[in-house]
Amino acid sequence: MLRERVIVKLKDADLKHLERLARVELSGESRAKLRRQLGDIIGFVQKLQEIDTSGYSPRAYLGGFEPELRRDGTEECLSRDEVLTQAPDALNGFFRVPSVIGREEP
Amino acid sequence: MIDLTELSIQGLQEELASDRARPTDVVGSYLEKIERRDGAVKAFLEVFGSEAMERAAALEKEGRRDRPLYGVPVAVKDNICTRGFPTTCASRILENYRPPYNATVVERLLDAGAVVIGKTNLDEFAMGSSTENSAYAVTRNPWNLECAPGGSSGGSAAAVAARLAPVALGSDTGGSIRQPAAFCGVVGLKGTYGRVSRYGLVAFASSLDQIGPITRTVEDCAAVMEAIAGHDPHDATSIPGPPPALARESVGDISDLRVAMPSRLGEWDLESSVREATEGAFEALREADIRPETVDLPDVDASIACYYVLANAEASSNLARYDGVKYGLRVPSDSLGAMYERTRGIGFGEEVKRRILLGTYVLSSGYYEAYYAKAQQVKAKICDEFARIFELHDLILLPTAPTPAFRIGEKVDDPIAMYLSDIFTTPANIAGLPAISIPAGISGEGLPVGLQLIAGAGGEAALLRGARFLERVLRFNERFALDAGPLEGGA
Amino acid sequence: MRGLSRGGREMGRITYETVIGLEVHAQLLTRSKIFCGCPVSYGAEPNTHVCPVCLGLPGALPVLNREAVSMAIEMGLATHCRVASESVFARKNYFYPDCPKNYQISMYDKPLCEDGYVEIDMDGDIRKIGLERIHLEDDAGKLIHDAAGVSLVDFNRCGVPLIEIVSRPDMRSPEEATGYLVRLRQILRYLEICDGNMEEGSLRCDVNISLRPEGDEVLGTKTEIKNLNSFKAIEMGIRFEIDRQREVLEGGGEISQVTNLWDADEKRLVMMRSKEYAHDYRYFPEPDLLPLHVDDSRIEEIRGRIPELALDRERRFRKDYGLSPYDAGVLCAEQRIADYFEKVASLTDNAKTSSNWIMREVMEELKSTGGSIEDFLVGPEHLAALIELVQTDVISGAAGREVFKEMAKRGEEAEVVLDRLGLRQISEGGELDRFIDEVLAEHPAEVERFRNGEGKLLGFFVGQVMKKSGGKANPKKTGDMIRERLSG
Repeated sequence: MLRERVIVKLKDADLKHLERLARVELSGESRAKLRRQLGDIIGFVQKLQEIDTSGYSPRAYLGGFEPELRRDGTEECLSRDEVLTQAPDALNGFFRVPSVIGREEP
Repeated sequence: MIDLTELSIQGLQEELASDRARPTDVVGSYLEKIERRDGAVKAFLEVFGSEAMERAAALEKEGRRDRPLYGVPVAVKDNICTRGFPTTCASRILENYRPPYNATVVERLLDAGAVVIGKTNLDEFAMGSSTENSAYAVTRNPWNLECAPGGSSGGSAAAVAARLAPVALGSDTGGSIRQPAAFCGVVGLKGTYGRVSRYGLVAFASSLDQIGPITRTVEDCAAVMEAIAGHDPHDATSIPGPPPALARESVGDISDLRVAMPSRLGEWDLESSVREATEGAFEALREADIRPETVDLPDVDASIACYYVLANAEASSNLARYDGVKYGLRVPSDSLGAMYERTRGIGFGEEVKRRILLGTYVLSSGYYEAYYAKAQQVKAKICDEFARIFELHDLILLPTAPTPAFRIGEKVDDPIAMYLSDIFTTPANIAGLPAISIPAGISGEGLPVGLQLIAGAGGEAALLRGARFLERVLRFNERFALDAGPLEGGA
Repeated sequence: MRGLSRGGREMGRITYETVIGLEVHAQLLTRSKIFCGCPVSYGAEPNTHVCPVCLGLPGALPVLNREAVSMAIEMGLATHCRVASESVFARKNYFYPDCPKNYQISMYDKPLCEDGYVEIDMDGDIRKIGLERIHLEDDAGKLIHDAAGVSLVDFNRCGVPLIEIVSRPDMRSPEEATGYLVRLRQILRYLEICDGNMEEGSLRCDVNISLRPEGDEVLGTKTEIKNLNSFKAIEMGIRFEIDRQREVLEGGGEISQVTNLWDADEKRLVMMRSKEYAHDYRYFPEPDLLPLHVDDSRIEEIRGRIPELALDRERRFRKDYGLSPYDAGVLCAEQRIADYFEKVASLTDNAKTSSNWIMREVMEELKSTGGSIEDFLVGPEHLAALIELVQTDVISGAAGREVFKEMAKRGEEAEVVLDRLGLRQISEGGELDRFIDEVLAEHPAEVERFRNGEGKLLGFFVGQVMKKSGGKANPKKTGDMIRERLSG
């Protein structure tokens, strides 16, 4: 069974890349631990490589029925109060966020 | 008056129908029980005390007592939206978040005459198998307060086990209804994928998530499932048409059911009480003249690896919306990028971050083929293998989890050990099949052991019929009762 | 740059060929958004047309709008694409404040339509510009950059259905690029699935450009230009980038794969993003939406909705009405104007005159008031009636134009205006005779000279009659009558 684990070491640069893609800042203390654990988990899922899937195409959907598409009609919206009441920061009906720096998307 | 909290839903309905009790009595009894016991168990994140009583009073005025869940209190897992009430997913990032809409299942419960009495604890964003990953509380197993109730629907399972609600809704992505049900000695059902609407269920893994009931009896489970199931125009993945008449279809003899037994049962690493319970159940079937046939199940190791790739990939995308812009936590920052990173860094717990990063990894450029696409192929293979089994069989019987409940703190530092407790439950999620866990026995340490039945797609009726038979034969509720002492002694 | 032979290299200077591809996003004119029932609205107060789905609230799920699919298929059929029997939605993952779920629902591996083309007419030379694909996706909200390091977000636009139309890199000049876009926009408007307004953003265009030595097969490194909000900007932006790339290449440098924004005020390109920051969108099939299946009967049903398109209509106008390619092009540029023309032409039975009146009088009037043909107060029947009056000499051409301007103010009929302004031409005897008598009596010397052969004095006499009649005499009739009188 999966008790024998494949060893995978994740480089710090790889972790930084993932942090950036996922927009998650890891704290100093937890970084090393998380890097190790992620390496373990990636090793854990290496099991997939051992499985013979010849003849099988990737399956995204279970199928079984045709979904009904929506008729092009309008429905009631939320009131603006409902929408903004939980906004961390709002101004004149808009959500307010810090600017994007420069022209880069963040 | 009898203790209303000791009754099943059926029992409650009888009391209510004959006017021996009113909804306010029922709700009041449960609220009182919660008051006495939840200090020790911590199943609830929020209790709707006055609101629930108001609702019960309104129900009494309304009448319409023929509704299927009239007067029945329901606890709802805190990743299911309840309009105007906190829905935190046990995460700091949604602290104080109150959805402006009800999940479809909540609307259906309300239409059926039920009373929502509170929101139950879970592993943050449903990611976990012990409810230890909650940012707010650690729920304890009512059978042994040092042990975990399982997860991620640990609060829901513990609530039902401790008689704090006759039914609780949970969600199941890799076993999160069934495994805690097994750990807590109660019944937990996950239907066919698409059977119950996901609209209003905070998404973890969209292609795997399903909402389902946790109850004390199979009969109750069937009744609640029927009330919440059925097509929802707000959920494009929900199966068209009304739900099957499960309450009616779950009764009846099982002599026509063809049951399969996993060929690897002998090889699997099972705790002795789990093995005994499983073998005992097969024996009971043989005695009832149902001859289980041995089949090769899809490789459970493959299933779990496949699950962890697909579920976390989808999760990394589903949880991208928690960014401090529109709702929930925001860590104020000068730049947008810093705001995103700090909000998510602080707002998410460790397990959630692990899964998001893993999910991001398997979808990222250069890795997609080897991990995500490969997992989709494994999924295709698993679906195919199950389909072939169900051409010749109606049910598969196997353990729900390899062990009974483990101690709190035991696995929290070993993510992979934690993941392995889902080894028997993930296959049904991957293939979208209905599956149920029923309590089978008690271990040497006094902890419940559950057994699982899986049926073919759409096979809830056969599933429930089989479950009712086993329930009758195993007689868990008659044979075992949990000791309320520690729960009320003020732990 | 042209004029050098293919042996350009031999002469020490490489001739470069421009390769251009366009990515166009068109907002569809559905009533509701693509994945929810919020209305598609313009100019509403911020954040008033949103719901859990388009706001990306926890637990919300998308459900596909049937009409958005129909419109997308219509566009595919109108551009000769193959419509996929199965297409799949995919998540495009990236973080941005106008994107509430921080992913867009789009299509990736299996788009709705593929392999079409658009015909463009470059001075009589018909070229087919290839269309790689058309797919559906949801629009983002609007981000307003406020002062002081803060941005404001409005999600009203979030979820409006878009079709993304990706061309093949078949265009070779800024003219071809704009020509393609003009035709594409025209098709969208004829189908009534998009209003094609670039300034307001219902039609957006990104350009990909690369240069390569003429004769080379391999494509050069391409750069992307965004934020081109008008045809003019597209032309200028392309020229700017061609020049910039040529300068780099001629200097021995290499083109790096950048994205540039067009600065409409400064009229130049500003680099926005370089390759290092190229997004990894981590596309995967959207689990909340099942694959889209379109069968042949649905395709045929939608094909039946497609009206006669501009290019075909132009051809028909040239054939049936004998119009020139230029005239046919002007009249068919907008479907409603072509409709208007055909009504007028059928009533007057004179295509040439009708087309002249529309191309001059009508279109000038519309241009000066900024109005549209739909709201125009002179209906086709009324214009036809006016044209009839001029054709039959009831009024002169000049008077006719005056009457037309009056009609356009309040929508009055020609006859009413005519009488009010007293513009009826005098064409018949009686009054005309009297004027002629007077003139001839007043100018006996000129009469004598005319009789002796100075034929051009006719113009003089006619002019005098026009003066006496206050311009109302029918000049042609007057001339005929005088000639007749003096020939005896």
